[in-house]
Amino acid sequence: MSLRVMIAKPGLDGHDRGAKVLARALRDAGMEVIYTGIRRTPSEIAEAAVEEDVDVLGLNCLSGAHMSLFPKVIEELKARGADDIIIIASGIIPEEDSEKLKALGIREVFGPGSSVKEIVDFIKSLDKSRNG
Amino acid sequence: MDESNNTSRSKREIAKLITQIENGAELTPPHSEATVVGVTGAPGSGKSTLISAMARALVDKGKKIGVIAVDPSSPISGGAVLGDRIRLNFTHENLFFRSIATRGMRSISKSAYTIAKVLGASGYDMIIIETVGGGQEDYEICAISDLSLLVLCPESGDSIQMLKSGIIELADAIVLNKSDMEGSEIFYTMLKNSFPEKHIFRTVALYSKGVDELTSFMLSWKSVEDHRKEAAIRSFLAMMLKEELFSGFLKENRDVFEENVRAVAKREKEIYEAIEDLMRAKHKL
Amino acid sequence: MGLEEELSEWNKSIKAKERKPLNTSGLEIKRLYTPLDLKEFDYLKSLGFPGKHPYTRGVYPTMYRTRPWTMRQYAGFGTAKETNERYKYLLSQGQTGLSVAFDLPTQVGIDSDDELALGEVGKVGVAIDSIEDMETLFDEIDLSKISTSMTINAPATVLLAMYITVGEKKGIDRKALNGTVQNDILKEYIARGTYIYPPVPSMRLTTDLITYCSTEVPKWHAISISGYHMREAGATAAQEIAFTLADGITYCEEVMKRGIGIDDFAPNLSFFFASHSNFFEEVAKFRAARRMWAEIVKNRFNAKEERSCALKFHTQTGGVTLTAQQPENNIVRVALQALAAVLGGTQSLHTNSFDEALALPSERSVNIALRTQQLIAYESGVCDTVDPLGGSYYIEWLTDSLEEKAWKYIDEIDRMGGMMKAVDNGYVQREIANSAYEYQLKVENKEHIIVGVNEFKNDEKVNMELLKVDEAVERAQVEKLKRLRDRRDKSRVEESLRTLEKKCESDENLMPYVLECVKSYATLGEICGAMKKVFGEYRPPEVF
Repeated sequence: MSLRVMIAKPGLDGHDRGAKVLARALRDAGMEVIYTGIRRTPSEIAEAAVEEDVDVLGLNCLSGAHMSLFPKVIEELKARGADDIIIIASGIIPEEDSEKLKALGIREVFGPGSSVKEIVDFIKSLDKSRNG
Repeated sequence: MDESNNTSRSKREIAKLITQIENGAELTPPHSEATVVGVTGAPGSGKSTLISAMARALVDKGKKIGVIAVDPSSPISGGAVLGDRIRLNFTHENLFFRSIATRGMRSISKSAYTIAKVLGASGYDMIIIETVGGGQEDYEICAISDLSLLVLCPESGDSIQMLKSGIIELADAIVLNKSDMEGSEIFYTMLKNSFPEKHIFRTVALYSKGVDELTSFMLSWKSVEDHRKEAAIRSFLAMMLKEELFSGFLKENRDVFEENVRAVAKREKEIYEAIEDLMRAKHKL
Repeated sequence: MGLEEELSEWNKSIKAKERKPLNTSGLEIKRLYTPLDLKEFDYLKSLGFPGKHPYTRGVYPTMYRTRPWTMRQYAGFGTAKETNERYKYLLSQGQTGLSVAFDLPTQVGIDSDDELALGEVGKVGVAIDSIEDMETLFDEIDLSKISTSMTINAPATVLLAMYITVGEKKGIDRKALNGTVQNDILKEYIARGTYIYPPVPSMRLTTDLITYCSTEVPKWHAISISGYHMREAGATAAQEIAFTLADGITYCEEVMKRGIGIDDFAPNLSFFFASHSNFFEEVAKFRAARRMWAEIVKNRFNAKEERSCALKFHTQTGGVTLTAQQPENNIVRVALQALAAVLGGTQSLHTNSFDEALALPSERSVNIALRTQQLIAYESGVCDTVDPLGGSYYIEWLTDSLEEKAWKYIDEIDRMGGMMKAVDNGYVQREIANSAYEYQLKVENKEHIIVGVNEFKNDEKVNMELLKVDEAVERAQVEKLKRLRDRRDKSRVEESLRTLEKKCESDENLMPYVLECVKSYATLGEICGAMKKVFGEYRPPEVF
């Protein structure tokens, strides 16, 4: 059973080098990765996550809009009864914001300087706990 | 498993059901009257963009639409990047879009078929299946769909290859996408002359041109049973049978099979020798 | 014994172990370069003189001996009012050029109250919704005395129309306005992602703007053809030159299709490159780019005037090379990259601030970045002579080799039928994505060392004062927009938008109609929205 992961880019920033590299790395780790493409609204992301029935939703935002956008995604998922989807986040997210986001239910936040391997390993560990 | 018609299923419930199908749950495809449209075509012909434009037009016409987009799994890792959503312009309560991976081509046609039926039984009026494009699986899509569309684009070498393959004979209609490109007129005339009986549409999916006409055609389509359909079904059944036989074989002979794979990879054995050995194993010689 | 035999003897005598070279473009780097590596080298043909064809050594005869490059720092945040105050401060400190950073809603042509703008207003630049904001942005600034560079692409026509209108209101003739709009839409599809419409109508807007400027705003640089963002997205140095020049070729062809001669617009083209960490590779890259462009303009487009062939460029140090770990190290990285840009002969330079991997730059970090440039210009002595690295066996070999690699890409793109096709079928995006992935693998397995990231790490917690944009900015901007919508002459707005929409279906130059919309106080989102109705919206191909 392949783990299904969705990489989503809420907001307007068009830099998706990181998102694409991560998508490839997750594929190479044996996962099925759905990439939404750039410029998606929180409701579009939540709708897509539900339709795709993903296990993990990775949010990436580099423009500094994460504190407005990520909580909105969580809200939209709740409204669809899909708050069991594990959310992780990455981007230029300062330490203090990261604490707040975790308090809102985001499982892990990968700030600037996180390596792709770290993120892949983290998602793999989620898979193990899911199956174990 | 619950397989009855249920139009009140939430998207969440449908999505979970699809996951179970994908993961091998035994489920008899439910009955559904929804039209299943198979869309195939060469890479770069603009299939995904066209499907996004078609879905938009159909939803705007008040229809509930399901889309099943298939991308290849990596033969090495088993993982996949499913990117068809990138081209999708919108989400809507009357649109259900699901990306699936070929998962080693083992059961894609079967699960895509069952998923389409589940979507139909859940109240979706038309289900569009997008194939990976350009391979064997295109024959099968014609068998499991009520209407099959072949998407081509002018000037494309891959599209020319498609003309030579059997798929063009099996498809119910041809869509010449990117028809604003240079050389499009010549290509269109050539198609018209070579396939005078076929429905041929011209679209520019990026600008939603010609999509209205195409979707009206799709809505009014009545599936016909003819020799083309028979050929597609023959091919589909043959593939399914091969798969069943192969998985039966694997159940009893997995170790022998893997040994032979390794031996050929290490060049200890020629590939035809491996086949002979595997046949011997099958017949328990 | 000749040099060849001597060299071979010497090479054979070496037993020491050597580490793998760092070159990013996949070139085999030898342990030593000698005249044998420059067999084809002909001084006049390969280098010539600065200010003369093929411009390898620089576009001006005296280069920095006359005056150093323009130090141009990109700035903008929050509301137009806040940014205006920052600009006035910068100008009072003797800066003569402004470089406007717009927020993302502005860059993708939507208003601050659009659903998609949530959380983005004023974040990475200044928020501009209408001519009203533009007037505030340049309040008390004399547009006849400064040059203004605007990083704006898909909605460039609208922002330029706003700038022209602000000038008019101040009584300044558009012919006197000086500045640049980036207006490079191709690289938005390839790497930067702030596109709006599909390629064909976008290209029409780009050429509308260039042709309009060639007669109406003659001092304006109507495009800045950018490799920077492709490099940031993962391109190698060779790919950066190749794809940028291929974009340049496409723009030239499109403008010439309108019946404008190459010599009438080529001198006003400008380029924008990145400077990354592999020092010599970067220096060689700039030199190769100049020589190639001169060749393209002269032989492919048959330019008659020398100055049409000179590639003038702005450089920014590599944003992706900045690390969040041990951020002070970035000061050194930026200095080395800036030095490479200067030795490569840049016309203007933006140096990144050391805290930019963590947040928008603070005032202190911006200051250090600017001082870095001044230090190079006034203390290092690199300005003393033109192209000081010219003639180095290694640099000349590297320049030749990068050029050869880049031509191969350009040939491939030509074979596909040009850059529009190569972007449409995802070729360029795929090449870049592959380079990015390969680079990442090298970093992860330490083949490529990044100090403080995969080697020489310490666990020090980063403790720095970071700039944060107040969330109140968004609310204030949305309020302001609402007041404007209530106040303006609605029928004039609607009329101008209707006319623009109609003209989008024709072949006419859209600039005059965009100007009318701007003057009627139509908002950026409304103007781009009217064009969207005809042009449609773009979604990219899947490329990984």
